[in-house]
Amino acid sequence: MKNYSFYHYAIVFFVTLGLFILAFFLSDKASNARISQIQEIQNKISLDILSIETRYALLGNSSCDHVVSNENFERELNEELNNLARRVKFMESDLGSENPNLLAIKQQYNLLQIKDYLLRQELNERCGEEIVSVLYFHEQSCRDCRRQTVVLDEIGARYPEVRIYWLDRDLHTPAMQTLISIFNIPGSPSIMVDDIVHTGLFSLADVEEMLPLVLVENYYASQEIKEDEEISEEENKEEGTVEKTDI
Amino acid sequence: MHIDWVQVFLYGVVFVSLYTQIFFLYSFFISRKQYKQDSLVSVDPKELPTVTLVVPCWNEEKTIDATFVSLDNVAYPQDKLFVIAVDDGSTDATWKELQKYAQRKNTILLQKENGGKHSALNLALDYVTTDLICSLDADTRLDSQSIQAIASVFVKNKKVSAVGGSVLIHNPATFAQKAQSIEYQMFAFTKKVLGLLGGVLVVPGAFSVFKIDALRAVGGYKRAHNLEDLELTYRLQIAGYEVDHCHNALVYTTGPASVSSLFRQRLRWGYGFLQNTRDYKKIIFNPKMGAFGMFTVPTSVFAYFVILSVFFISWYKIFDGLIHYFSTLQLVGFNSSWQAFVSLDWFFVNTQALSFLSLVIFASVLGTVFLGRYVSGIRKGSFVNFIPFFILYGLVVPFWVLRSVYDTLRASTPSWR
Repeated sequence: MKNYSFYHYAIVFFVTLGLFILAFFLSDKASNARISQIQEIQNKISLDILSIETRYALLGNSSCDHVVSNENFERELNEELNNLARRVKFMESDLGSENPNLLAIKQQYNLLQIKDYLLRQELNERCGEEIVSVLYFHEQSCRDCRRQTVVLDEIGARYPEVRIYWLDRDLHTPAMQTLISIFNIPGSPSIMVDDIVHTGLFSLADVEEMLPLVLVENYYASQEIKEDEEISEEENKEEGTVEKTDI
Repeated sequence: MHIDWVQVFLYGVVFVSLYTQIFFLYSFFISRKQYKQDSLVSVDPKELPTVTLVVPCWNEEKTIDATFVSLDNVAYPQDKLFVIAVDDGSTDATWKELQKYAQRKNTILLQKENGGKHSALNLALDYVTTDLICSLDADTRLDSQSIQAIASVFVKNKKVSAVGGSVLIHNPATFAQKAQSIEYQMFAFTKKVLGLLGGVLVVPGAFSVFKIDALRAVGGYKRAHNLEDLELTYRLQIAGYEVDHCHNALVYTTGPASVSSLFRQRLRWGYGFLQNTRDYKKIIFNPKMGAFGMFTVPTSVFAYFVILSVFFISWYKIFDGLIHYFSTLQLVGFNSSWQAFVSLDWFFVNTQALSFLSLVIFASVLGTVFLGRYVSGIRKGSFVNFIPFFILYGLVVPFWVLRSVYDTLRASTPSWR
């Protein structure tokens, strides 16, 4: 054994290589599973949007009295959009933004969002439906976007009734570029609420200020109620223990 | 196409690290027959060679008694066992303490001016009349069977000229010692494998045995940037002497108790290793040197490179992550669900190939420790000590590596102790 032959070095090399291939294979499997999960969510969203579109088409020239809105439906869609955004964002950091599978998904989902936005606008205008939309423009190369995204995640969690559109400026689809030039979006991160564009990094409180006051007030009021409930629960517990000792 | 070079680099580092780990496991597997043979100590006591134990002492007044107690307990034919203790100009009562053993059988006491460990060993070399010489650190406790086990290697294999024993940590008490206890168990395995391949990097100064002829032929000990055991092994390997490891010859050392003294010890090791390797750089990838030249020395050098680069990359990432965390916290405030976003959803688990491979390396490190316990005959090893091991070696090692690389480049000499 003292004359350790080249043969052994080669075997170890191939074993190592084998483990590398296995690791890449497993990683690829895991990514594919996730991509298909994203695709599932996306299919769900596209179905939802098709449903909105169809409803809108049915409306045609008849009056808004026929519009059937369903709050739960809208909330679920909001949730799905936020969910998808989080997942796509994670996959971007995992696979890189140039991964072709991911790019295809991103393009589709950005288009879906734009379409939904347009329908939503028309429904809002024609029938006075009040759904608050936030357009959030971000891109890979902007450092502040990472943090701004966290703020918008939080907005999504706090205000499930707000529809956030996660728009990636890096996508060079004609629709996206048109959207950017129509609204004159100067850079990233940009947030557009009520046709007003805010460019730069905004804190949670800043973004909350952009939202309708009623929403924000309702949220904080509900938080206070929750806290009160917790406090009274604790008080009840304490009282309970006192009673027990009395007995 | 955009290429993430940091990623490519990390994969390269992981490849070589994994290669090294597999190399150890694979080599152990294919040498298992030889290992089994080595494990059987069955040498007729009449065949055992004569041995001189050399104990260099420098300010060892507190430890020297324990050393002699362990010498008294050595199971070896008494007429074949000699002891030379050298007081290397201690500034404490070492010489006085040594006098207690002046009348001990087959024992020589020497005193000299302080000149470093190598000079103490060389002085003793002049007095040795036996076939073998065994160097032993004063703070090291011998297992009673270890001299016989290590001397048997010379009987069984006439060609071998130097054999190192397995050094373990004695009753680890402090955080640093607990971490080292795991590390030394790991070494017990890797050194055994290197012994089987003829690629031993260093026969430890704490406990190693040489044929006196071989040691004299290569010129005894040298200062060697304060790492005389490594440099001597280099010279023996280069001169073509066979160097082996004896896994059932155990000795116990206390190991530096504090992280800072461990840091100084490792700085000396790191600096000594890099300097000596630079002096003998012709070894690296020299096919004539066998596994020693093709595997041991290159991977040891590479380890420094890995530790440093992984250190910088991971600290950069940690730092970057912390900045992101706190600046985000500033934006969203404490009262947000964002912190809870560290989700349990499997979707957000990192499944890059790099994470799988890191797990494999981690598992192989654990496997190496368990194999080390197996070859050293440790039945009940602590699991808790893995915690200090990973904390210490994850956080502190890069600093002494960095410092020793820096010192080597500047060629300043670190203090001996």
